[in-house]
Amino acid sequence: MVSAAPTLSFDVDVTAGDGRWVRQGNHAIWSGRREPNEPPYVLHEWTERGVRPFPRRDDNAHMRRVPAGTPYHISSLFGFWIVNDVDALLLNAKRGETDYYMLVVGGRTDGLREATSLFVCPKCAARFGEEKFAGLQSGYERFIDAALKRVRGFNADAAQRTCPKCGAVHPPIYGFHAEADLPEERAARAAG
Amino acid sequence: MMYADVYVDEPLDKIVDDWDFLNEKVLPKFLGFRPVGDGVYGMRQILPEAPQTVEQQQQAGTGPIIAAKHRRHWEIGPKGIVQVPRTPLVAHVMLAGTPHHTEHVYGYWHINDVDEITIDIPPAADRPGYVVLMQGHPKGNEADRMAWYCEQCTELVHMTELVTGSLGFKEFWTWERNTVRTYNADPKLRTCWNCGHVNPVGYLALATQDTAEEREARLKW
Repeated sequence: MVSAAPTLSFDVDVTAGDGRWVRQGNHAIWSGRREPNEPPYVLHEWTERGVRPFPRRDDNAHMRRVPAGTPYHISSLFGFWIVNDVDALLLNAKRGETDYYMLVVGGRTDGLREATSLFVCPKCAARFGEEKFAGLQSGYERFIDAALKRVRGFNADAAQRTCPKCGAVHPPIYGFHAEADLPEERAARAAG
Repeated sequence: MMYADVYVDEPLDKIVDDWDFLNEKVLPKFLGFRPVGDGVYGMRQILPEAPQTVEQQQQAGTGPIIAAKHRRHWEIGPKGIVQVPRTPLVAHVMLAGTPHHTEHVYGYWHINDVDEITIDIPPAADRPGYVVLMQGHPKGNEADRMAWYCEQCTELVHMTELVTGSLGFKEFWTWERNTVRTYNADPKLRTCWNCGHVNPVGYLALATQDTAEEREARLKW
């Protein structure tokens, strides 16, 4: 019989984040960084009245809670939109010239079970193409992988990209991990 | 910007209350612990040196809990009591059930039924640094526990529990004060059943309510 001491605590070094999600306990945690020559990550939230951006206002640290059920998108980080079943928290702090980010999803012990990927029309803000992913217990990266498949299907099919409300065709988008970008996704990420 | 055509065209501060927890006008609301949505949040200002008196603390404006750059954080695990270093921009995640104590800040071991994350934010352009604390919002039968372990042999000496999930987090501070004062008043509760050592008194997170003996204890452990 093999036994191991339980993990009681662990660290996530935001300054050395490898861009992968850590899913343990009640939270999934991602961390990343942006250099001065790169566009910043900007949180966007969907509301009934349109899209609300939360840009950095100064060099101070910022922390925004995205309530459970609110669709959000972080430009330059992921091109689709996410709805979590539990709150998410985006922390942004500057050290030297580098911007550091930490995205924490979770909190409740009965949360972090499922996440939804979706798209938002850039012409009329209609939500469409919502698809629920259950099974976050086995890792947040599985949802990110599933979302990338959706992104590739979306980009390849103009019908999927056509807004059911206004008929505008959504431009191509990008997945979560930039290193996996295809040329079209890389261009979309660069365009913001 | 892809969504510029559909942006809500009103100033952010007018339509979203408290959108930035680290905004200097919002921070005072988090000097204790504040339940918001699925989490409970607390912010502590990092001072170069720990205030040694209540007067210094009030002058520094650090709120109800002293935070200091050089304080030490401890946890109890399979290897006994271990010190956990604080590193700026390193998030420390304590999983539910881990007894933890921060010296000079609260004079007991806290045990949650939900995970707790701590991250030190270094000073920015014109602002001091902060310690950000976030934990899940307890629900149902989830509880907070306050424990004391023998400083000589680490056996559990005394523990009480508050079912914050059903009673609400607002009960925490009254329970904390009553528990600490009960423990301090009774040497039997502080006497280790295993080795007979009489352990020092505890103290509250709210330093401004310290009695003389609690203030003395705060400076020691």
